[in-house]
Amino acid sequence: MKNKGFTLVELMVSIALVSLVLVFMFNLLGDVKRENSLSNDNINDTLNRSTITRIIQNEWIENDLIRVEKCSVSGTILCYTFTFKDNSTKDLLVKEKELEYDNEKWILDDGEYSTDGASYCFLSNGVNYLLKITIPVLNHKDDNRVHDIELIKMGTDDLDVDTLDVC
Amino acid sequence: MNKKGFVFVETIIVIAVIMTILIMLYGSFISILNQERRDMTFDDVTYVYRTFYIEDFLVSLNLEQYIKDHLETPNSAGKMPLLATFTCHDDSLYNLRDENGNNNPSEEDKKNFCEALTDGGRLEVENIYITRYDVSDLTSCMNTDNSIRCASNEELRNLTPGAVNYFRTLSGNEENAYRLIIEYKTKIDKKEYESSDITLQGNEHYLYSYSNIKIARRNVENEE
Repeated sequence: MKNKGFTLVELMVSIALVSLVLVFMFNLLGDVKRENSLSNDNINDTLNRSTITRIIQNEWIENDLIRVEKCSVSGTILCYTFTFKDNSTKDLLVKEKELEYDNEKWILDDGEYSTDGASYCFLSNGVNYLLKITIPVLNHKDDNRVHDIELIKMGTDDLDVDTLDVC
Repeated sequence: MNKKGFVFVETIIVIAVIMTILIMLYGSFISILNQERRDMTFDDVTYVYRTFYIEDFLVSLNLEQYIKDHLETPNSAGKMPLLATFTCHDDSLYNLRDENGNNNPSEEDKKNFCEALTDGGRLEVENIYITRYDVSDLTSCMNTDNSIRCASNEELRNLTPGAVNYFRTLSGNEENAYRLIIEYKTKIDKKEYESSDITLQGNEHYLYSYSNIKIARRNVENEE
């Protein structure tokens, strides 16, 4: 048997087959890299959202929230004033890229806060109530996560709310 | 025999081996990626807080008795239920009559509030499940393709594949403790979402998300 190695056709067939698989592999590795980057961003996003939610909701419980009303401050797209039992008030100011509460600011790395889909609703039957404030975040990342900030309070104490929205 | 290189058959065999290895690598990476994408809808901050508040409300009902009736009493097949699908419509959760048999309006209000909270999409609650905290018996009934294999546990039949997938990620082996698991269904606009937990109903896209919390057994702790 006389065998001198590959012919050009054989070589091209082999390269074509390996290339086909390598294309899939490179795509896959690209996806893994993207997913890793999204995952890192999401850790920061989750930390920020949980910090905001914890600070505000804890304050609602500890200082006894008695009234919530919308406010109007220039430069903000959403504004809420919270009044507590000791008559102190605090504003939650939402601008396009940042959220401010009690002298603390959280700036969005990606996307922006939006009024589209923002909701401020109250459900009460005279005994129990649910207060829900949703601050939507329009995120440009192609992922399937919720980036919105949602503040909830449920209770049985009195709460005065300046809204017409019913949950 | 004078042989200066591979013959074509040898080359094909080598390529076939390389391709098999690459395909296996691709398969394992793609499943990790898909799992990662699915897990992104699990235990998000928003849903964790929601679940916390819902649990806080539910423990103010007769949840202890509800658990006894639905998880500690054998089902029609004589097996201990592994899962209970919670519904606010169950009158045993409330003391609708007082000791004298009269209507109890405050409990009626509680029932209405519970129904309003969990129905109608206010908190986007789709299903509320209660299980033992240790879900190993439950997950042993679930296959890796998210199908169910314990035929005698009829309560498992209506679980969505997303819920089964979520249950399979849970761990923990605390005894005498129970877990509240909530399935949320959120309407979404983006059609380019990459997730198997998105379903199309009519022209609307919905994303299923999950969260769980250990049920605080306040009544028992207080009695102790």
